[in-house]
Amino acid sequence: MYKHHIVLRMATRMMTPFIQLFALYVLAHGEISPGGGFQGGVIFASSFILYGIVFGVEEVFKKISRKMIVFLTALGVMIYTGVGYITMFNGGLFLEYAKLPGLDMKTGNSIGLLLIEIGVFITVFSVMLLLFIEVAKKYDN
Amino acid sequence: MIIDFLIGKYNYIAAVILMLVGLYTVIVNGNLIKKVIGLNILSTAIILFYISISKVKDGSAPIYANDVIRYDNPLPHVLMLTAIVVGVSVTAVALAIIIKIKEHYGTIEEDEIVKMEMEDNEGS
Amino acid sequence: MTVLIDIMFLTFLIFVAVLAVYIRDILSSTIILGAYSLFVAVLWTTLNAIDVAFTEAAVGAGISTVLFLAVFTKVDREDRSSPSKDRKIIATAVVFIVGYLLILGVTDMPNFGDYNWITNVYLIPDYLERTLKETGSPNIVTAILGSYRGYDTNGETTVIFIAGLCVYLILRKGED
Repeated sequence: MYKHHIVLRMATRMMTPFIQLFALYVLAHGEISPGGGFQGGVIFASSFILYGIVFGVEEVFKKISRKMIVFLTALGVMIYTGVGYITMFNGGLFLEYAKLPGLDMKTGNSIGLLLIEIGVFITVFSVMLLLFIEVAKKYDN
Repeated sequence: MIIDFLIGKYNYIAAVILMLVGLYTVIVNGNLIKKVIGLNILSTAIILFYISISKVKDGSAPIYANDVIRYDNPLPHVLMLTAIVVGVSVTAVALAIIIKIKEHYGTIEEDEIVKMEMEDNEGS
Repeated sequence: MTVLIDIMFLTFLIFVAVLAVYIRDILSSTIILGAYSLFVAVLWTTLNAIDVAFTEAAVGAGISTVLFLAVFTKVDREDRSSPSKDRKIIATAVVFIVGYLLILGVTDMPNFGDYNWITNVYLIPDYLERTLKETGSPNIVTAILGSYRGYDTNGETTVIFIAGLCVYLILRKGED
């Protein structure tokens, strides 16, 4: 969009990977420090939104297609609910992480927590990005 | 006595005042985006109320650490985490509907939309 | 001393909220709302709700403001509403009645920071004791969010999914 603002474009290009790395850090350290799936997902989406504001929404579609975004919204919910069903078929209750296959209680709880956080991360990331690109659809013209 | 009341419960009173500011905007202001802004302020006020309940004297943040007298109540934090994310979903859907209203009527003022609807009904 | 800072901060917050709804230019109003969200995030940090502050700073001050700004590519910036006098009188009456009832409720609340109140002694010590032993997660908020209240979070994720789907379907213009 801002074709002549070279500082803005270069700064965006350089900042985007660091924002994404920070988002993944927030996701992975959700258990031991503040953060988790929501915050990580929103920060990951904000990196794409920054890219979209500076370069135009069409540039975002070159990185991730609209169909992919809509698919990811459903995938996150499916991962979350799928963990619940796996524990159910393994003899436990819905979302009883201790019954995840091949894990004892403490490890199972830890891994199960991480799995559902990843599900939340994917859904929140793709929904926030979808909201932005749908609301700002005519941004370019 | 009234001073004690104000100092002891100031957070709750501030939450009530913020809530009333939001409520007044939602009722009175005819601009639809202003209404959404009022709704945002209202939801923040409710979050303030819950978080104020969770804070205890000498409490520290609910993350396990050494040398801690007592922890704050973690349950309202969990509930409000949900409330914030649902709040942004509500905002997004409301804004999408506002865009559609703008496309259909050409304005986002409530009074003008009502007037147009009245004229349409009289004409038919 | 902490009480004084708290009171000043909250008064300032009310002032910013009134300013956000009073200004006629909606673009300024939106920017002030973003600043308000950031102030609120700082307030959550002083109240030790770090997870909530993190979320508020990312969602309230970030995504919300960006969504509002994106809408301004399509709608007018000026607030042209002129509410009638009847409406103002009714709204003032409603606000006063609701405010009276809420203040009446506040008088029954304990003082700020009371750790012997029912919400802080029922079930919470149990959570604090069991969390590290059962889940191995030092952050109690994440542990409750994911483990003990996993159903809530599942429903919440579904709500976000449905909101995204709703916006996608509302704003769709014939493309696939």
